[in-house]
Amino acid sequence: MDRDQRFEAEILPHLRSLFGAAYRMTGNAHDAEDLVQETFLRAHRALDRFEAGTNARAWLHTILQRVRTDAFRRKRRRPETVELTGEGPAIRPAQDALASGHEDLERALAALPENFRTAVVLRDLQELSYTEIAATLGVPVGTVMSRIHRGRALLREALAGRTS
Amino acid sequence: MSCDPERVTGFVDGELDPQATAAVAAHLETCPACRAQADAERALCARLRSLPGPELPAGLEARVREAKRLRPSVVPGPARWALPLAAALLVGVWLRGYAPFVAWDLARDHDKCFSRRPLPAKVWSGEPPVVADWFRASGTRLPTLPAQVGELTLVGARYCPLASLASAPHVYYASAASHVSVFVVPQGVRFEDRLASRARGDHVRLLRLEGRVVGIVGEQEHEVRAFETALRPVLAAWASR
Repeated sequence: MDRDQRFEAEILPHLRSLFGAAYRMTGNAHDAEDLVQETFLRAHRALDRFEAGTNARAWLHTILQRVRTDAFRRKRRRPETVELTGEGPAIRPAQDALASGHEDLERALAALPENFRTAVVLRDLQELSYTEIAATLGVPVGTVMSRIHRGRALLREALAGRTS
Repeated sequence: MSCDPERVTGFVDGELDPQATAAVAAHLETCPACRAQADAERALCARLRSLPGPELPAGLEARVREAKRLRPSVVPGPARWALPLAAALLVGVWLRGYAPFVAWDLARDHDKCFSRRPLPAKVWSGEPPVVADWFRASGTRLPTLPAQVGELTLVGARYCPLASLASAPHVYYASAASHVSVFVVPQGVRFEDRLASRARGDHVRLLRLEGRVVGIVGEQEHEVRAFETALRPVLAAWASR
C-alpha cells in the first residue's frame, strides 16, 4: 500500500470526527477548519511515523495539539496585528443540537475553561484513553483524570443550574 | 477507603488498575454520595457521546486531498520526474515572460494576500521612506512610492513568491472598501511599454520604463488607473537614475 492509499484508508476516515472535536475546542467552524486542514497535511507528511495498528485518532490529536500550539506562538510573535474576531468562546451550537434539545449541554461545554473542555472532548467525544490523552497533551495521567473530573463536575453543575 | 471523587471518575472510565478498581467498587457499596457521582457521570457521558457533531464544511475533504497533492512529501524516482521536469522548465521559461501569465500571477498573489487576515505584510508602515528602507536593507532599490492615491493609503509590503519562481517586492495599499498592489516584476516580460488587462476579476497594468517592469493590480479600474497616473512620473525619475 503506498502512502496515499494508507492515508485514504487509515487517516482520512477520521476527518469528520476530528473536525467535530476541533470545532468544540476552538469555538468556531472557521478556525476548526484551518486547524483540521493543517493537521491532516502534517499527518500526510509524517505518515511514516504512524505505527500501524495504533490509534490513528489519538495520533491525529497529538498533531492537532501541536498545530494549535504553533498557531498560538505565531500569534504571540505578531503583536502588531490587530485581532478582528471577538474574544471568548463564542460557540454556536450545531443546528442539529438545537433541534434535538442538546443546547444546554452545548452551551455548558463551550463555557468550560479550555483545559477542562479539551480533556472532556478527548475523552467523552473522541473516546481516547487516559494514556492517549496524556501523550496528546503532554501531561501526566493523573492530571488528565483530574481535568476530566473537574470538567464533568462543572458541566453537571451548569446543567443542574439551568434545569432547576 | 475514604471518598476520592477523582478516582470515582477514573473508575467510571475503567481507567484504574485492578486494585484501585476493587477498592472504589467496595467504597461505592457503602457511600451514597460517590455512588450518585458515578451515576451522574455515566449519564453525562452518555449525553456527551450522543451529541451530534457539526456538519463538515463543504469541500474540506476535497481540500485536504488537494492540498496534500500540492505538497507532496514523497520524492519520486528520477525516471518519473526527469522528462516532465524538462518539459515544465521549458514551458516555465516561456511562461515567465508571457505577459498574460504574469498579469494572472500578480492578480493571484494580490487576491491571496488580501484574502488573508491579518494581511501578511513583513513591514507595516504608511510612510514610503520606511518601506523603501526596508527593501533597501534586503538589497532592493524601489522608487519612492506615494503614501496615498485617492482613497487608498500605503499599508505595508513584503516579498511575494510568484508562480514563476521569482520573488517580487509587493507593496500594499488599502482603503475601507478596496485594495491595490504594486509589484516590481523581477523577470523580463514580453509586452510593449504598457499592458492593460484583466485577470481573475482584477484590473492589471504592466508598465515598462527603462527595462524595469512594474505591475499594478486592483479590484476597481479607476483606482488602478489613478495609480498608473501617479506612478508614471515616479517611475520615470527612478528609471533615469
